[in-house]
Amino acid sequence: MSRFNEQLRSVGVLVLVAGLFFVHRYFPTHPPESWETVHGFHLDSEECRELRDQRQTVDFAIPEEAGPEVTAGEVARSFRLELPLVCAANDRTDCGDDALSPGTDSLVLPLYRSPKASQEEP
Amino acid sequence: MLTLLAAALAIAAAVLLGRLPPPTRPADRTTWQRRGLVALLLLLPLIHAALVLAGSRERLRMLRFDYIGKQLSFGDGQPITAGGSPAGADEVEDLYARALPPRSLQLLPPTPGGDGEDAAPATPGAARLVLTSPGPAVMVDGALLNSVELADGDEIVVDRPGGEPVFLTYGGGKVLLGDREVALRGLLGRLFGGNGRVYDLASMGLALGTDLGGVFSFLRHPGVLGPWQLVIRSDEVTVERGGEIVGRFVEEHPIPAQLDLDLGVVSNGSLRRQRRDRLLIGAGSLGKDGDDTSQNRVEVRFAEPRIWTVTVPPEEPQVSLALTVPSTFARHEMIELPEPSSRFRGLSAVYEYERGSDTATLSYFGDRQTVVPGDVYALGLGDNRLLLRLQRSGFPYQLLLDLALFALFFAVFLGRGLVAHAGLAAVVGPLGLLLGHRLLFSYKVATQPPDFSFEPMQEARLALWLLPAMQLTAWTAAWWLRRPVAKVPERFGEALRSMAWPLAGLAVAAGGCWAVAGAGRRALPLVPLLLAGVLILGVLLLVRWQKARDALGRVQDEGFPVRPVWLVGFGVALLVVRWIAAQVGMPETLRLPMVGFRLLWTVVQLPLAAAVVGIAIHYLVHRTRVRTWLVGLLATWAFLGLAFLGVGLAVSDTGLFLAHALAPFVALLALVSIPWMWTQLPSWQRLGLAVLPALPLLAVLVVNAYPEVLIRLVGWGSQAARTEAAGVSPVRDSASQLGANRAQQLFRLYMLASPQRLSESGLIASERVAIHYATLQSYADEGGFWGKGYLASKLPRHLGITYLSDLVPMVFVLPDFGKLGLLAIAVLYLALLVAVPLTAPAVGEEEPSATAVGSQGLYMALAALLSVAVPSLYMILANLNLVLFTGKNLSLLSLNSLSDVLQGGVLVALAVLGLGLRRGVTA
Repeated sequence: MSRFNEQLRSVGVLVLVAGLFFVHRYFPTHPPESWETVHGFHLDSEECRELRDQRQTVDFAIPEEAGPEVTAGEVARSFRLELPLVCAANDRTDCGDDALSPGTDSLVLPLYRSPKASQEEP
Repeated sequence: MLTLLAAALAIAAAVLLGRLPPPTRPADRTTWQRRGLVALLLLLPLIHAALVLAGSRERLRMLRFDYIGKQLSFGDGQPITAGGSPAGADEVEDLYARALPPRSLQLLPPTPGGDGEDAAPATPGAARLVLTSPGPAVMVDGALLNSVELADGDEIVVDRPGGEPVFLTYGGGKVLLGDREVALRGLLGRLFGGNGRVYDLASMGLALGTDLGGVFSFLRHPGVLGPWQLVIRSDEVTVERGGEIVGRFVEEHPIPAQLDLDLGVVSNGSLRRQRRDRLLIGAGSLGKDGDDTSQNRVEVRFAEPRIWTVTVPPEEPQVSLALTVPSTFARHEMIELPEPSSRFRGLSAVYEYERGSDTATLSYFGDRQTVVPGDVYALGLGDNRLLLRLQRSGFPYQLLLDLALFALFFAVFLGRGLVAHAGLAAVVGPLGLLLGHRLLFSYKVATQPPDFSFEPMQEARLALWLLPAMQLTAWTAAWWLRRPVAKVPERFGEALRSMAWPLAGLAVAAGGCWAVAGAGRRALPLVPLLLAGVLILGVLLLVRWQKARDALGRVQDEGFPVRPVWLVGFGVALLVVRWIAAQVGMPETLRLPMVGFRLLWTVVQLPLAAAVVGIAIHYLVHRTRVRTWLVGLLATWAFLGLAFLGVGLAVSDTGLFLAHALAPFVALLALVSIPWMWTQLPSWQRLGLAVLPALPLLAVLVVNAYPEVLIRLVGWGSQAARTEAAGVSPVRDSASQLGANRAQQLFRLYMLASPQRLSESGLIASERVAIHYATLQSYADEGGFWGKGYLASKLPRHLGITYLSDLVPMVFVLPDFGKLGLLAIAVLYLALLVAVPLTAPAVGEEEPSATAVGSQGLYMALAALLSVAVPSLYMILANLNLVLFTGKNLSLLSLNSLSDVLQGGVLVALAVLGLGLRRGVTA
């Protein structure tokens, strides 16, 4: 084999090794799974109120058959709503244990409004 | 269309290469033309993949949401629970597993120690695990809780309330009750069959003649040697030794701060994992600022995260999504996190993606954050949060880089061979395109539901390094085998220098395998490369020995020795080995001891059979007397009958005969019936002899053309089969009287012969086959003639894991690439066969280079390439429901099987070896 061809093959091997390094470094088969950066969110009462205004709400009258006494937390849970949002919608804080009387009391429930619908509004 | 064009180009380039004059040194115009054609062949997979990906670049833009874990608070009054809540329950588990009883397990803080003398001591560990009786099999860091090592003579006592205690005796690898016994899997079975088999007491009770229903404590063996263990899952089971209780159900277990927690149940004789999590107690940065309550937090990392993807439609500038825990509102545009825990009900966040800026934001309770791809976001308030990893994917440049390196490897280490030998080039072109398709298909599996599995992708990338290394080894072996003995260097150093490039190639390929294999799976793919290196070095050492040099000379002059009786003996040996393997629980796969890897038997059997058939054909070619011809042919037929039909019957693998045995029979038929083929017998004798190999082929054709005939044969013995005309549901009546295996065969035959009658039978098993048929039909029609485009169709959720193996043509080719694409894949397999006529012309001619070993090599190549192509073509037809379906796959395109890579690679390497032995003819 000519010297040139030998050199060409050697260059080819070097490129292969460099490519391998690049593949291993930047294109792992499995995406990296770092747990180091976990972004949390902070609840802000003001923000919650603003959020309440962005959502449609419904006034839910506690039905008599609900039992002798229910709490706001139980109502929120049965409607699968976040308790802080329910509290914000009713202008209360930490309302989970607030007792509600069936047949007389009511609770404002902030229902989810889809982003699409909000875009369509003027 | 692109695939068909690529296949046509590959064939055309190989044929042109075969027609051009041999290369010269220094390179003339023709040599440069040859180099250009080889470059085209090597770059085809890369160009093809680039065009396919470019055509679907909009579909490649995906948003991905991985629900990877949760952070939970826990305390004495608020344990973390695991189990399967009843449907509709309000309080549901923190770690949900449907098959487990409710509240199977609870995680509680450690008991603090008291101050006084009588106070209870503190429990060790970071937390307590409290089990419920009866509960699941709980494994902490790989060790099963409540597991007792059994000794001979131990008594397993089952004392259920309201019943008499049952005393089972363990001894000598058996469990005894009175005069009845159940034999546990022995040492040989564990060594080769693995230790996955477990024996639950409920099932053992049936064999022992006592009612132990509902007692799911079980015996298992943790390794190969050592004692059996009883895993106690309820408080009604104890183990007694010499009157003392040595094992009982313990409810409470201390656990370390970090652990892997596995929950499992026993099903069909094996322990099935229900969920697996990594628990980090005290981890997480939750709670209010400055409030250090980390001791009461647990971070749960799911081993199997739930994943969703959303493609970004090109016409939409913005994508908005609600990420919610089940809620009743606006369901149609929500990603619902499968989080039944009452801690998270109602949680919802808004994810917005802007196409123009390629950025995303996540809003939760008014707190809006820009999404960093790959980072984890914790949704929730207080100490309880869900963890989501948010990612985006775009154009997969890594696929193109992989294919570029694949082409470069061939160019560097086999470039000269490819330029000189059209046969080798004819193999490498279609091989690259097939592997390119494997890569594209596996990328789809990795990025699309239902599995999002990266293993197929890893194996496809491994194949891009393993197969070239195998071809390099085969080409090197061929070079050694045809090299004149006088030129073989005697000194090891000199011989080693002559092998420097192949060894360097193996080293680079090993590096490639290491780079692309997943962590923990890096060692196994290196084994074949290590074997190849040892083989080369072994040959270098061997040739210093004069007897080995003499043997090499004899092989070169006379070819590999063969006798008809050897063929029969070989067939018998193969049948016996497979039968014994089936008896110890390895009918279709050979479980490699220690590593536990399951290697398909066909990886060994098919290349061996191809080599034997190749050598047998050479033997037949050189027999001029009809009698010896006939003896040789009968011996070959006996070998094939034993190795395929016999083995197929012994291990109940009809596919082995239907799909795999076709290849050697086709080779034999080609040999005796094609006029220009390589025999000196008169044509009438050849055609007469063609009947022998044609018979089994005819049988396969009859099965497929007239399934009604076989229905009667398979259904033989059942009353309804004989009175079919009068039966209301002949399928059901026949199947009910047959074993499960024969009934399955019957259903498949009906699927081919009369799908309507199959659907009317109403059996679950037959319905499964009917659904399979309907699915085949719908997929066959989905893509039409041209296909909908790569990634345009969804992957099926209801076909189990077979969509990655047997059903690849139906699931990956037909919908995306259409019927034309399927035709192109078939053409790629046929294109492999072009290598044989490109290498063959001089065979039989009076040329010095047409050595015996060269001729044998050519026939081996024919048989090996047919073994790749014919079963694949059969399975393409089976996927179109044109022939009887069997559980085989397209060679090199079984996406979840490293065995398939090895099988295809070894067969192609055998073909390259064979073609290389004939290299002198065209070089």
